[in-house]
Amino acid sequence: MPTTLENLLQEMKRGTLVLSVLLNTDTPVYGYSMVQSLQEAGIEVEQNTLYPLLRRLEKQELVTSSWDTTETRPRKYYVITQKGVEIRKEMLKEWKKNNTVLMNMEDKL
Amino acid sequence: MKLLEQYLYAINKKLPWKGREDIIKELRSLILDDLENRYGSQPTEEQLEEFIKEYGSPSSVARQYNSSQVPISGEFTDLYFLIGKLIVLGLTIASFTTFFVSVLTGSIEEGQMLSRILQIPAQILTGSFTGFGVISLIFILITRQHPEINLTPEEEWDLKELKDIVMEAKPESKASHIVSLILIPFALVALPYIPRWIEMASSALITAGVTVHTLNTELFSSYLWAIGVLCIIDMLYHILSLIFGSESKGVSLYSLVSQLISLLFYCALVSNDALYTGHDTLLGIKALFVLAIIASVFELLSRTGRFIKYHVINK
Repeated sequence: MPTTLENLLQEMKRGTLVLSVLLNTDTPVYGYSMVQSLQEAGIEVEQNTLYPLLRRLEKQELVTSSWDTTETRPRKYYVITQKGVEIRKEMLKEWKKNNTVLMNMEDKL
Repeated sequence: MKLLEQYLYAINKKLPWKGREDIIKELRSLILDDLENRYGSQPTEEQLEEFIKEYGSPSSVARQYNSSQVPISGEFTDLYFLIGKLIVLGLTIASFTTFFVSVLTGSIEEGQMLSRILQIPAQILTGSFTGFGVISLIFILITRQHPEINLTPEEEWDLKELKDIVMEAKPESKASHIVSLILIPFALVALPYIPRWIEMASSALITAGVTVHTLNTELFSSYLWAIGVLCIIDMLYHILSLIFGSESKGVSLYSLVSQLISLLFYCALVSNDALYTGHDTLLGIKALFVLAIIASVFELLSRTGRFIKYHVINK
């Protein structure tokens, strides 16, 4: 049974995951390599969460996908779209703003 | 890697209808990448089991793909199609029962027989549309009201269940069954005219100087009811295939028996010399019956092979 803290952290991570994915799709990337690059960057993400998220982002037209069948194993590559770039820019702006607000609040403690 | 395919098959069953194939294709690729990274290119059965356990139950994996945007949640897919199949099955049984009761009680006049036969698929089709419409509406409403509903709790997940799954070669196309169901009634309607058409074709060939035998149309007409029965048996096979899948055990057995009956019927047609008059040659309608025998033998062998593969070897 997850604790309250775990639940809250989970919620927070979920919120930042979309932005993390959008920050890692400037060049075409497939699901498994994305998991690895996010983990290397320090973001723990479950594959079961990331793969469906990529598909959802595709539906929202923030990323686009294509199958590469030239290798021994076919792989689906995702890359950010122009709409995705614009959304990412706005999300980052909002993130920085919230971060500043939170830091200011912490300073007053 | 059979276990992996069984795992993907189980996930596939719980995914939303739309996009299933692509999701499974991607999942297979991603899982194989992960497996290779962890255990090398040839993981053992135990490593695969460990991996799957860690990856999660088919329900939990599929649930991640069930977005609230789909009209009917993937959690309900199996139940939705089960109820749908039961509706079609119920309608089929009811329509055929009504028909046979009418025949036995003599409430169908002679001239109405054909139209009553044709009414059967029409009744099943319209009833099925209505039935599917109603259950679709119900499931859409449930999905909207309870998007997070979970019908398969995690506690029920057991890896052993995966190993018992018998996979179909690939999701079969229903198009051929539907086309057959549309065409067979036309064949039934055309049945009384067939002897006349054969007669005309034979006359045309004889006039053209081809040495063919002619058909004893009077005698052949006495076989027409049997051809009608074969058509109905075949129609039932396509209906059952649509409901249960052509590789299910019952339908496979039914198709074997029906194919055998067809083969015996064609053999009876070829062996009855009284059916053919004029020149003593194979050329003519008899040749078509011989071709039908050959096709039936191949079909019978193919169906027997599939039956052994899916229900004897896999078992």
